[in-house]
Amino acid sequence: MIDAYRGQQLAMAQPAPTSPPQQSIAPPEYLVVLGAALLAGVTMLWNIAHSPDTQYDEVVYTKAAQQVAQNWSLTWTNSPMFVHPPLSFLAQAGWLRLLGMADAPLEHAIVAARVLTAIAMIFAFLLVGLLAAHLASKADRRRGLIIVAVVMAVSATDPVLLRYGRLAMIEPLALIAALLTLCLAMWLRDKPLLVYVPVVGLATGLTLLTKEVSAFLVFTPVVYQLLGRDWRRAGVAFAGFAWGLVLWLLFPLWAATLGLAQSFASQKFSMFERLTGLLQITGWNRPGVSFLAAVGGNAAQYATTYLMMLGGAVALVWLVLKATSGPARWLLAWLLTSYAFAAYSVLLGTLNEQFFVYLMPASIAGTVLMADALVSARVRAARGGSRRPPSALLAAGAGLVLVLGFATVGWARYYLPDNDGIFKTAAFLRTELPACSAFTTTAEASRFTNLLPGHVVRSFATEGGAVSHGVHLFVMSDKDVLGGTVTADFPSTVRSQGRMLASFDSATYRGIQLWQVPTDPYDPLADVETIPGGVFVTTTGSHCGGFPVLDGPQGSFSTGWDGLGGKAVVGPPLTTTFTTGTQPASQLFRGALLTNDGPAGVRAAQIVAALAATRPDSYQQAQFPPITRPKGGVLAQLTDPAIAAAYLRAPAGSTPTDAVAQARGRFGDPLGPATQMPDGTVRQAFAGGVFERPASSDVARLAPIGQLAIDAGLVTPPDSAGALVVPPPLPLADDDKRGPDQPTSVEPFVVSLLIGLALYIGLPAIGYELATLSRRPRPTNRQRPS
Amino acid sequence: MTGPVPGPPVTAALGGVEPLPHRQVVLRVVVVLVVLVLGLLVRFSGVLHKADPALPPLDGAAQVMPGVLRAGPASETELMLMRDSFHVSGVVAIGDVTVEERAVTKALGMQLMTIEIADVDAPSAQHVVELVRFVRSNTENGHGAVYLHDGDGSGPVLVTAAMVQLVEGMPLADVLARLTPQERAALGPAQNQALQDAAAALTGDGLPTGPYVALREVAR
Repeated sequence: MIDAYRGQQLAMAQPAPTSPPQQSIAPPEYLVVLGAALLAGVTMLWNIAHSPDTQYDEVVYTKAAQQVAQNWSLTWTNSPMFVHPPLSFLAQAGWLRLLGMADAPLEHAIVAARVLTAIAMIFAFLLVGLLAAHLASKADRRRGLIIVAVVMAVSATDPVLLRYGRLAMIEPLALIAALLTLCLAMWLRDKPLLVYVPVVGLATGLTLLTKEVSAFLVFTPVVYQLLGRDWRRAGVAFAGFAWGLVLWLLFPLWAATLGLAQSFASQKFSMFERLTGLLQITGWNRPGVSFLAAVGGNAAQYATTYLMMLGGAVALVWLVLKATSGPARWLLAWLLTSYAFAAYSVLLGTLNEQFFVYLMPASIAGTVLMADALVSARVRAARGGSRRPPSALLAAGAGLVLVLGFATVGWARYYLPDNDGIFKTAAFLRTELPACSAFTTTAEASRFTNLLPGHVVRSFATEGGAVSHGVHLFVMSDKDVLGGTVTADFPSTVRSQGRMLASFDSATYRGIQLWQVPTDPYDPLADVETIPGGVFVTTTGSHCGGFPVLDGPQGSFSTGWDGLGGKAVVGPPLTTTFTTGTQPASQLFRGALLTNDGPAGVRAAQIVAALAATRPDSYQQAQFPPITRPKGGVLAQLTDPAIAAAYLRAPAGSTPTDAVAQARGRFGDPLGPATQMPDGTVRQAFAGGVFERPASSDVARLAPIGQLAIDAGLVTPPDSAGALVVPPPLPLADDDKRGPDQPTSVEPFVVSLLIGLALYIGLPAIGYELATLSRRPRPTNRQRPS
Repeated sequence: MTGPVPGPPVTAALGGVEPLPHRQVVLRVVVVLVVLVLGLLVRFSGVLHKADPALPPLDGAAQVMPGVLRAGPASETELMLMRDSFHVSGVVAIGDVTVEERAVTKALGMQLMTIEIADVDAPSAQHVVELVRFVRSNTENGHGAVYLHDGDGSGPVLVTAAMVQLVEGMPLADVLARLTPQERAALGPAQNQALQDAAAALTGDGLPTGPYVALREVAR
């Protein structure tokens, strides 16, 4: 095809070389292509299973592809995916089916899907090389091959192309479709409308059905013809583009067949708002995110990409200030569409990093060809007396070595070491922690929910919010935190209060860590979920299990617990409510046994004296204070202000009317003086519980006598009361909020696409046959048989 | 000694590049600059961006007065949004308050005030006095804002917010006119009566022993 281009190009009105063609020594074309493919194969596929780290889009796209492969359902939720067209998902689904990975674990499917996109990217590099060969029309064979080799080598090591080519994203598939369309448009640029439009229109349509944002690339042929002011050919090129748009209509047609045209329109309108910048919810232009900071933050990884972008921009300016024709006009058109899109995205639109994938081929080709022109001019000017290689040539060579060297070092840094923290975190959570363990992540919850089906994953913005629901496991990455998903002090709070369970390397996310934050069982803001009739208190694991505290037929335990001070004073429940024999209903808590005393309500059962008598050894071992049966009034025995405040349920230093009587009703009388025990804690025994105040605190609470009461045989709750209860569901993450189920089958789209393609190919063939028949000479009368 | 050997002419590989007349170059430079400047103007003028919403995206959201919002309950991320985008520094929970709200407001550095009343009741004068002081302490320098909510944005938050408006000097007729017909209909008899009593107390028409006489302490 290169030769075909070259032949066509030479036929153009270009000045013929004035000297005979130089005999050049150059490797065969196929060796250059093979070498470039080999290089790209290494850079794209090496260690692809372990680097880069996966991301939300890749996870959900692969999940959707698996769903399509299994049952034609194009979704990762319960509604069809209209944000992007179906073609790339169908390609991935076919690939996964071919490999037998339609129902494989998602991690494995993601790696398999990456292989397809990486291969697509390798072919995209070859197409960029092909385009460069066409554009380098004036080069002799050797220089042409050098330019092609340089373009492909720079492409194969470009950091942005590597980053997104090695992920199971839509971009590689959309890029290869767009570049193929561009090649076809160049090849057929002078062909009749009836040849150009069906071929280029089909390629355009398939590109748009892969990802609409690539529309600017497939508009390049129109711009090329407009630049040449060839209005007739511009019309033909536009007809090809419009034909592609018609083919894209299969996408909304699919939505309409599902009865979801309105939902489709709504999603597409939202996407239009995002692309035009009316709505900024992702990317570097959204409020609170600094474009320059993002560019600076990624400079170490993307330095050569930035250099190529700059080179492409300079090439664009250079060509804008020249009169162009033929290949130069193609390059100008390509750079114009690419940079117009990039400039709009940077200035006004949604600026997602992966959009640079569409810009890079033009940038690289433009930079290399401009550098070649610059070197040629310098060499021409320097010709005069030296046989030494001109300095411009040396500088260009050194620049190329620097770019490739820097890019290769970056590749080695980011893709040789394992960079799969998300997979490893998921594996750790799956194998090392109980399945019931809920965790919160600084990333989108969906990054993990699909990798860990059955696990509860949320994205709390505050440590306090997570802990309040009984969630104690935190998956954190510093990069997510910079994105503003959580409060700025979230990581420091977790790190200061918790302990790290595991840490995983991830260059992508600057490390991923799993932390566990334990809480004080008496913390009133931790582990408590409001439920009808009372609360649920998580007591085990990270939202794994606990007990409800309810107002119900067995008594107003929730009200009673609150009356005693709730979790802050009595602590969490150790059982559900229970009855034994004819005894009143009870519920055991960490600090007291609450019983339903009928008209008197729920109060602390007076078990402390019995406990001290029954199990004096355990009582003393727990450093509970002696029981001395003090004489005198209650107030006189409340010598510790904090314990007095907790007992009286009144601010320290105040004694409201009836406070003593109410306190005696709640907790019973004091059984001894407040005593500082050997562990430094001040404790005082009451009939219903033992108040304690750590030496460093001014807050008192009931010491843990609940378990001691069970061990002493004073309380024997039935097994059913001690069985952990499953906590109520956590509030849904925004990603997990679902509407009613919708039809999601992509089968109607596939059917309409196949019918469309059959007609597309079949009708012209029939038309051609009919035209041939009609042109066939009719037999004369004399030839007719009589 | 042999002289230099001229090689074949070295031309750029990219075919089809010719110089432009000077006037064309200038014209194209001007066009490129104009397009660039226009783009920058559009970006920095904010024409394309929707104006920042005056109210958070919550059920029943409405502005009570400058610096005071009322709405239905907010999730954790919505509370964060209100802190960061609406400068809310104080939250008033009317009716039930969840442990999550207590924990999140604390984590976000917001002040939380609770007014425990039933859905059909009105806040007491003491509640309103404390509320007004809470609002003023949060908004006095024009930096903070206060967000009032109940269980669904259409219960006792309506009468509570109306009380704040009365205390701040808004006539009862205007207060009621700012409610939607649905919100007016949602006010129960006790709540309507409370508004009448509060308005009377504040205008001096009510009995000196009326239930809302204490509001005069904080009235503007």
